[in-house]
Amino acid sequence: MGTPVSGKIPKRPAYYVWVGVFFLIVAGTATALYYATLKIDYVWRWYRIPQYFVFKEKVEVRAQIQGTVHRITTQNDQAVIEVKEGQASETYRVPKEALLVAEGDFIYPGDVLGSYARWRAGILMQGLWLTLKVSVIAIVFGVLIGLFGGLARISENPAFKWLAITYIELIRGSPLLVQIFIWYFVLGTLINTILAKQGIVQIPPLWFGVAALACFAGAYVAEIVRAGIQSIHRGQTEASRSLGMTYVQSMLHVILPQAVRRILPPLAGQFISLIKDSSLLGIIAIRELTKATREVVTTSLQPFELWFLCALLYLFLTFTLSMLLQYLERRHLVT
Amino acid sequence: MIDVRHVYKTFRIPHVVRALVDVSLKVEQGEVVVVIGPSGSGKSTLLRCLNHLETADSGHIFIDGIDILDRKTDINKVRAEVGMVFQSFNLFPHKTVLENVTLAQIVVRKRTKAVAVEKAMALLEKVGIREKANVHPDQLSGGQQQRVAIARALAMDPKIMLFDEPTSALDPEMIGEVLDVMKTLAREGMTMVVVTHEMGFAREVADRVIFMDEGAIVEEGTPEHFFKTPEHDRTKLFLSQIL
Repeated sequence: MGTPVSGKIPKRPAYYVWVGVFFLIVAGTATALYYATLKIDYVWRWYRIPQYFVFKEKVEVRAQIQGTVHRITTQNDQAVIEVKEGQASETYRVPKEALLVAEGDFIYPGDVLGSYARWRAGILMQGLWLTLKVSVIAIVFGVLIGLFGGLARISENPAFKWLAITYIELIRGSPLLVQIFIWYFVLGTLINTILAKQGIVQIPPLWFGVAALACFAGAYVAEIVRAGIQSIHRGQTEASRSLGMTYVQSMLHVILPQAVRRILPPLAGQFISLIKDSSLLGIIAIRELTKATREVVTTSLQPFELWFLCALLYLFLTFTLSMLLQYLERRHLVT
Repeated sequence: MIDVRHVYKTFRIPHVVRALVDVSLKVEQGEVVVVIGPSGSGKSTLLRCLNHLETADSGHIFIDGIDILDRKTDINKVRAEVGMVFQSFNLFPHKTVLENVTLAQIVVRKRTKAVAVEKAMALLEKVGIREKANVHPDQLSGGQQQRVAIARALAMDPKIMLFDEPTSALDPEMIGEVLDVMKTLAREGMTMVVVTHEMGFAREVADRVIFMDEGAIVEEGTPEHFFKTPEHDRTKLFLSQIL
């Protein structure tokens, strides 16, 4: 304490004062917000939140036929109920302690024989999962589109090059929200109507949402890939080509492995944007995290807790992803 | 081995530069030709045209009887037979020294890894850095890197070696080690075209010296003729400035 540790520059007292100021501002903001909510008589009920992640569902076992309870036997913790009416017979299983009938009872269809509870994923958990799923699929396709888009962008072939430029400028120059509408209401309608006429099953909105996100991310990834490849010195291409390698061999063995290191950091930022942008998919009836939160808010009337929680869950996803990519980056640099 | 006939090359970006003007040149098998000239004289462009890193606008360039300006020529096949060493080494920084030397052997020559490694180790031995086989290029000095680059080119068993100012980016004390490797190659009968400012090398090793200025070959001849009795004023001026 106090004595300088070798290798570390000792901090001046003013430094600790400013550290204190930082924590004071953070704590002050939080407290101010909390008191403001008390002023408008908002009642915080955090204890109500967990049920939207997992909850216990009571499942009632009902008889399908009418008849008498012929026999009840016990297997482990389960009661096996045999219901008989003439030739017909059915067996049902319920936990022993939740058994509601006895041998000889007469049963009508729909009568409750017993019940048990099981854990179910709540709406927020489902939303979180859907957000994750949509993001991962869109990232995978976005990277593929971006890789080929970026290569096309730097190609000397005008067809490839101009197609790439058109695609990139169109996507980057229009709002994602509008693109989602176009994918769902224009392309979606077209595709599904044509499919319906052929008598083939419809494509659910989820996939149009994924397509919109993937195409959107693809344009940005293409620019990142282009910049990454162009940042590799010309001499690398010349050296590999002068050894007789083809364009593809030179890309695969020499240019791309080097470009990947420079591409990874901006790519991580793009992935994080994509996860956050997936919150827009709620407008085309995809119940991802934001839409799920909105639905819970309308039923629970606890908007403050839920919107903070929603933000924290996105933070959890993006932070995990950025840690993962940082790990990849570091490992890649070492090898 | 190399037959250049009436080659023209003009760069239009960023501004119009006539880099090669009616250049004709023949290099026989086993011959060592040194190209000298002031900067911007077109000597590097000529060299880069020989393996099609630059495309000549007109004329013919025959490498071992194949016209590389013919659109039907598979340029990758020709390039595999023509090794090139660059001023800035251009080693692959993400690969070890050994991988630098084996990569093209495996990818282009389709050799097995074992054969490629054996060949690479023999060549690294030859250029005197066998012990550095498993380090990455950024841990080597400039001279060592350039020797690896020479080994990398030799690994393809080229018929011709092109050197584009191989010692210009080196610290003075490292020039010797690279020139020694090049001298060995020349003595072994490799066909070489060398763009350099090393007059000592030209004098000692070259079979023929070519002086270029403003995109054209001004004078060519044996080193004796060239350094002792140059004919053109431009050549005399250049030699007086650098010697």
